[in-house]
Amino acid sequence: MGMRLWGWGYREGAAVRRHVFTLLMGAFAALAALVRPAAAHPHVFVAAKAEVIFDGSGNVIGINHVWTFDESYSAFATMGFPKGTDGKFDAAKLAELAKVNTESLSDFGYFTEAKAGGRKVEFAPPQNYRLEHNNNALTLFLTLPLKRPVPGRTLSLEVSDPTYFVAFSFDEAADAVVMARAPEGCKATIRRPKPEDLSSYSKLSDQIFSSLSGKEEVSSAFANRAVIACP
Amino acid sequence: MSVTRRAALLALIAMTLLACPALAQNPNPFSLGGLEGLGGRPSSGFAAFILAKQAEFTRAMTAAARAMSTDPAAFWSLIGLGFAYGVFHAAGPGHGKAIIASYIIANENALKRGAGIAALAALLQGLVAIALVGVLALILQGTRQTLTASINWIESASYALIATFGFWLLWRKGRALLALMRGADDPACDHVHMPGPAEVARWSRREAAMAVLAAGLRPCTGAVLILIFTLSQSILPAGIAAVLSMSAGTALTTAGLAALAVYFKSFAVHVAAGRGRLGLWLVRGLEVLAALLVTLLGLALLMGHWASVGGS
Repeated sequence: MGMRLWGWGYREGAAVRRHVFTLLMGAFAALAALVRPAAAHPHVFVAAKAEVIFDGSGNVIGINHVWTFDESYSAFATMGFPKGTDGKFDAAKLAELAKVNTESLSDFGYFTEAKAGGRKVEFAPPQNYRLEHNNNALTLFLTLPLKRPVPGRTLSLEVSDPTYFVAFSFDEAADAVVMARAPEGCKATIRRPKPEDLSSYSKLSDQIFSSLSGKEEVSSAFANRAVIACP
Repeated sequence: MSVTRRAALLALIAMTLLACPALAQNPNPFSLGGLEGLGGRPSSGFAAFILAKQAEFTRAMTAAARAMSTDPAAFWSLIGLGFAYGVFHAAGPGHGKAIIASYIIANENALKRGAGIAALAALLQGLVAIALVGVLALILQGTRQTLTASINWIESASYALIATFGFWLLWRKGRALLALMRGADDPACDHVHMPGPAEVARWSRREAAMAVLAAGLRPCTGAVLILIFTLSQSILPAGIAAVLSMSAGTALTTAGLAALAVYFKSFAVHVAAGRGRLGLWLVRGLEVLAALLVTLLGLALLMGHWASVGGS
């Protein structure tokens, strides 16, 4: 841009121009940060239970998931479903919903990440899926088979939605993570997400640029993890 | 020059941040059909805190609504929680606030007007949710598919409206900037070709109405969900009251933000006042950037929406 266009003396012009530009861009960045449409809070909450299935000789062959949705999502999902004379939802409608839900899980890695001895485990498509509706809440049951059995000595199991649409948390009950046909002495330890811990190290300045760096502590506070350890 | 380049880079990063999350959307198996807005883990402790609080309020509202069947007094907790949710929800980032803030920065608005626009947008949001659930779920007995289809339609319309509004602001503010570039020394000169004061007032009323529509047309997810839940419990009137209370809470926060924007603008104008052409550049430039931001926001939301609807 020429000097004439800007219309003030060259000597002060260069410095002033820089200031104006920086100021404007700063304002623009601040506004852009305000509108960045990230981080919607989750509207769907799942209390998860899991059963790790062993083959009887120390290998893990699959996981049985039991996911109970919050009442609000359950009301949304079953909106307009016909009810029978017993007050229960139409079974065919529930089966259809279970099918739709389960089939689209593959695009999201089944919301399940398992590592055996530090190595990622691969899953085959879910089986035996069904939905139940009790006390205003939907519960999805499904079996997630492993592509290949893996030794179950140390297995970490994470059930979560990386996009944070759905907030998964292992059920508060003691039997949230159990094992079937596991060798003697195997133990499951659960670590539930604690997003409220995050507020302790919050900094306002973080808010604008931290997404560029991606903070490890932030994601670990959302981890919903169980660790299986066998002797 | 390097400062300029750095600033340009910063702007580019800001724009990328704006557009990327919107384009990377996939349908979630437990999706509410676009109802939830855009996902993503919160990127900082502060954002996480706000989100955790909102999630808490959402769940507490459901619990209060359920408790009403045995304890009628739970109605008042529902109303209070709705209000608190509204206040908190509005404190997070969102396109409605950005539109209102940008609109105020692009225009010289009185405090009352700015706050009024923000409050009306919040009320509109609640009313749209009530009308939607009332007509679709209660009267037409629709399913979640009909509900999400309608919401998708409203979203498309609202994002297109935001983009149109942005273009309109950009055109108006860009012309003022161009006039300045051509060397119109007197800012009043720009107004010589403009219509008379009565017509200007009518236009600015229309513009304000457009800002309200653009910011408030898309219903809030929390509102729709609590309406559907209360409907399923046969206590829809309580849900409607909660949503209106939510709107009041949102209005409180957004009106405060609007007031901040008004102060920011008058501060900028005040700073610019004693500085001749430089000041004019600053004010006009700021206005054009605000208008540009609304446009980009509308386009990014629209593209993201098409990408996600096309995929589901």
